[in-house]
Amino acid sequence: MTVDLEARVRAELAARAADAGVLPVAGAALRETARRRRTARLRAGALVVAAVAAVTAGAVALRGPANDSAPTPVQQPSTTATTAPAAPDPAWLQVPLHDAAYQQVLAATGGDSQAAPLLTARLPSGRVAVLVATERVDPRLWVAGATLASDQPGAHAVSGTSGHFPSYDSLIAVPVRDGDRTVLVVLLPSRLGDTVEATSSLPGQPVRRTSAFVHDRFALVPVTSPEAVTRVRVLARGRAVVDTIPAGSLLGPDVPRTVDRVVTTSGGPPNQPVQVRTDGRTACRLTVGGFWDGPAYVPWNPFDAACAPADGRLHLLLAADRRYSSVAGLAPAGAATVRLSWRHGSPTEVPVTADSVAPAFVDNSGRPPLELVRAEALDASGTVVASVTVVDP
Amino acid sequence: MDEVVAGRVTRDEIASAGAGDAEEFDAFVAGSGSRLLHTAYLLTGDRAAAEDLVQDVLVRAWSRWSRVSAADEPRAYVRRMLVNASVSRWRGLRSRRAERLVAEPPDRPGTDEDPRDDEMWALVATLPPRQRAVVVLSYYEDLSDGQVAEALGCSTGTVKSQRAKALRSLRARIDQEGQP
Repeated sequence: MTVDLEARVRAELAARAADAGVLPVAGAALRETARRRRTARLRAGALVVAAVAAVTAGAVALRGPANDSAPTPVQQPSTTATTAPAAPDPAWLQVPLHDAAYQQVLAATGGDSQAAPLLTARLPSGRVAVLVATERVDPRLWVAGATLASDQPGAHAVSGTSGHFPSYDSLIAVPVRDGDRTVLVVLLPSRLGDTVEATSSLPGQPVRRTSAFVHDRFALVPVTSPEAVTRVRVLARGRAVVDTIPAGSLLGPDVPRTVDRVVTTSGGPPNQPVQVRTDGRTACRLTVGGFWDGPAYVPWNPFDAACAPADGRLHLLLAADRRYSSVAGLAPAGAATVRLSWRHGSPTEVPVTADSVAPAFVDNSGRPPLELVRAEALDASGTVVASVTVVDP
Repeated sequence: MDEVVAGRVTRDEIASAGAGDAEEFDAFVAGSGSRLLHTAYLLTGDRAAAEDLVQDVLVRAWSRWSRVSAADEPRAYVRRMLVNASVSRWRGLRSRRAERLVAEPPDRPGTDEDPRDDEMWALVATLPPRQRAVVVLSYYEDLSDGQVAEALGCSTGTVKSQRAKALRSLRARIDQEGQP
């Protein structure tokens, strides 16, 4: 029995190992990353010391996000256009970090001892938002957030989210917790705007926009929840200079950055729901990130996108990965349910979320698109009003 | 003042990074990088995480390359770094994996002609990090008990007991789920 089991384990490991493919980077890129990481760490150390000195001298003004009920900016915007280095800014470290508290932050963000502090800022509640970053290869920058209960040495930290970004030259946006509320921490690659506006959307609720002024190239924008943030715009004197899906580095150019209204969402898992979003012309399914009760291991970046025109017809929205993603789609007007037929087992029915522009559905059964054969839209009487057969990729 | 200067590197690391042999390191990455990636994937069960883990470990290996290259078996040295990083970084992730979360989409879509043993893969994923490491090093890397013990920094007795526990656990779960 044991021999059989060992043979089975051995065979499975050998088969699975090939899934990893080949290492996509060469030694030179790794050496360059080591050099950049060393530089960043030394710089981060200097920045923390500088920030502590500034706080001691009372020279750093702490600010919080704009109030939820008053999204209109209330501070004088900064409009100075400068070329900024692609590196952390001393002004981003506004609250000194004690060693014990920093260890709490590292644990809350995943325990990556290579991570260096990128930003500290006081939230309106008195809590402290902390972002840490690690430069990885590709190049790719990993940023994670946590919230400290206070600025005291023994303060407890709770995890926020993490995300992958191309580099410090990217617009970095990471949601953190402020008690029961959520604050989107946005870092701009340069002084390209004076205001950051975030769009939040949840099914059946009005689209909500909140904003905050940019101060030292960062802004703290109140939002509904991480998974509700669908769009971020950077404004310069009222004109949009950046309009994007935040943390959208895994999304291709076929995903319009304007799909900001969430029509429907899956039931779980709680921190990675599948959504259908639309801008009225196109609808896309995306797997999105949210808060996780443990360390921020799961990136916030939306992924597994698939789009179709919101033209009133039945469309399946199937991601390229058909093994682990879930089935979603658009239904024609008047459809009440969509019947999904699978390679094995009985058909299942999924309710359609009523929407005047993009009636949509997301299957919560956990069955992968790989097993889907056919989808039929049914009206309230059970009559098939449209159908589509799955085509193998 | 007890404020932290987080992530500070040592003078030794700075010096050794500059003194390393770039060509030798590049050849090591070309020759061993993918194998390390495979091991990391088996340890983490997540391709993106495995890439991050291997890249992080290789970056750190370069910063201490004089020590790594002076070892009898540089690959064993780096593999030990990899296993330790994996065990410490992914400790406590069992509940997350049980929910089949994915950090990033796989690059290749699946097919329905998959001969692989999904049940066994799922069961291996439920093992605690150190037991999983023992299983991967024993059955994928084909290391002796002594080599596994060296990689994990423990005794051969611990390796044997951890592997026995892992196999008992796998067997119990298979029996529980009615597998052959």
